[in-house]
Amino acid sequence: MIARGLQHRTRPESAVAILRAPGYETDLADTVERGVRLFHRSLDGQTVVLKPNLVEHDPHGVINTHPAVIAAAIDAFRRLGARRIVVAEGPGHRRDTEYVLRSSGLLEVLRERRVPYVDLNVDAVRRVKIAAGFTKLGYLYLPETVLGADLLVSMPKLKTHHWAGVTLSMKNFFGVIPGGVYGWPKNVLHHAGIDRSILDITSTLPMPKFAIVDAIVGMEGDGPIHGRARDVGALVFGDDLVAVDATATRLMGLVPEKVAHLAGAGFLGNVDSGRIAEAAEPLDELRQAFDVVPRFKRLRGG
Amino acid sequence: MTTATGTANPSFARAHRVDVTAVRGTFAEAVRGQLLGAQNEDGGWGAVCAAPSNTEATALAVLALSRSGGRAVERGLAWLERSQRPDGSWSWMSGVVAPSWATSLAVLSLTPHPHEAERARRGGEWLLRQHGCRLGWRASLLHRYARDRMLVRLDPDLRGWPWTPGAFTWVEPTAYAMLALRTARPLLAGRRVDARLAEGERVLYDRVCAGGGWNYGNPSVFGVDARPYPELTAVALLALDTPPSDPRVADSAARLAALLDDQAIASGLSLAFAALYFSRHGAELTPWIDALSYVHRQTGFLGDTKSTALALLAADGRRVGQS
Repeated sequence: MIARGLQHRTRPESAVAILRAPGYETDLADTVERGVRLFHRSLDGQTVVLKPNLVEHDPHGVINTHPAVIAAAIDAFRRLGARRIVVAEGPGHRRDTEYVLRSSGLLEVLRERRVPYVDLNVDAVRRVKIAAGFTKLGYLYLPETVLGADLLVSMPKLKTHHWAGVTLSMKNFFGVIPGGVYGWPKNVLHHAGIDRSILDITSTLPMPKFAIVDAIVGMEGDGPIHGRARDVGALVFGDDLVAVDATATRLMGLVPEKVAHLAGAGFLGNVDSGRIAEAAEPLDELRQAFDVVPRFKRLRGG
Repeated sequence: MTTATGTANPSFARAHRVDVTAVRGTFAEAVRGQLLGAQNEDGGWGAVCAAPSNTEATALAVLALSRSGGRAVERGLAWLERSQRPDGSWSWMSGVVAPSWATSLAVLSLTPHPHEAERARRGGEWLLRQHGCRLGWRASLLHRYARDRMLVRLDPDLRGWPWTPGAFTWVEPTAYAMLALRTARPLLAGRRVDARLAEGERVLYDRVCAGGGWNYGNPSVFGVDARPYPELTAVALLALDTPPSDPRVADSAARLAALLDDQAIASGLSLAFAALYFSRHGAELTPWIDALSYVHRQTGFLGDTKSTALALLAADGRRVGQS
């Protein structure tokens, strides 16, 4: 077990915004822009790295961050003045970048918008000392593309996860770990402890971070690949990734304090709902009861 | 789509065939030019053009270009020479201190060059010393006596090759090590090589997906059968060096051909590996080169060095991983 992370008494409250987005065919760029503007008025001259969650062939839009959400984020960050936008991901199972981009529908989005894609699995790397030290790894190799970002935007899919309970903006950072060094799957992190690795990776990424969770259609049950689609109809925004993940966990009807990596994340951000302001739609109006695999039934309330 | 002789024809490519002879020649020249143009100043190749050199991309580019030889191959070999670690292994790229799985590809690439035999031998010796870690006594007991209680369906006591020293055994590094050791067998103590190849075969047969084919190495997780990946199915078939008609791999070979009949799934990487496998066992190469050419015209393989090098190997009718 990870010791419960200390909530910094001096940490200011965080804000998380849930915006309704009924489907992938609506004007998502406008929604994303509204969501980001609640936290960032301008990103003039900045390099923004968008880190979606791309896993497998996904004909029904359930496994991966939907390409329409990534397209909307590109358009929104451009409107906000970003100088350079890069989409970057290092899938944990698939090495075939051409396949991943084509089958996910992302290649078309990138071509239309002339945005580069970087496969973080094979990017140039730099050795960085781990900031938190929950694992015994000591250091991590991190991709230069990520380390060069002025703003790193984690764009996960809202999903339950059969090893970690939930997979959201912090777990999504497993995809910045280069497979060239750690392999496919990035099993070294599993052996070091998934929850501990999530905390070490998130705390070691030094740049400002932001999260946009694709909760338009989520995945319940045996995620992150074999679960069932669940319509939620929302996007979740925030600059405190712990608060975003805690809120998104509550959106699934689960208790974030019972998710090991969130329970230990108090040194990174706010988990306590009393310290998280709802900046847009009330959570209770959209909250659902996601199914989970038996070993995570304990994550439900009550 | 696959006959007993292993002929497989991606039908989407047939529909776009223009002039087979011209396409084949043009395609080989196109990917050869792409590869030559992507070589870095330091003599190595990166994952894509202008990316820092890494061992995998450099080894495969050298292997693909070695028939035509020339200065590019010499510079590539020099990069591999400079990058070999004192223990005989190669790291993934400069700046990474740990040895890596890419050692297999360096050995595969150096072995055909007589003046590199000693380096290839040392790399092969390092590979022979590598084993995936065990998962512990509990996993072993579950596998023997309560297999249905295992979260993942695999034999935890089989030890092939890991991505990094001390980690668990997975399909792709095991397959690459088998290809390298089979190629470098004349440089190594044959009995030890045979024993490790047999071990590798057991791993691959243990990790086959229900219905045939391979993914990264988990055929079933939480009781759900996982899907095979075409590129890794082809790599595993290459490593097993078994014809598609062999009952042990017939399902996997047929599934590979079926997967690559889908234009949405076929990529330069998967088509090239499949072409290398099927053509080794007597299948007509032309439909595969047609398919590669078609995909290349659409995507340029996104500039991926590995796909480009493997496609050139396939287009040249080369054989990979045989002694």
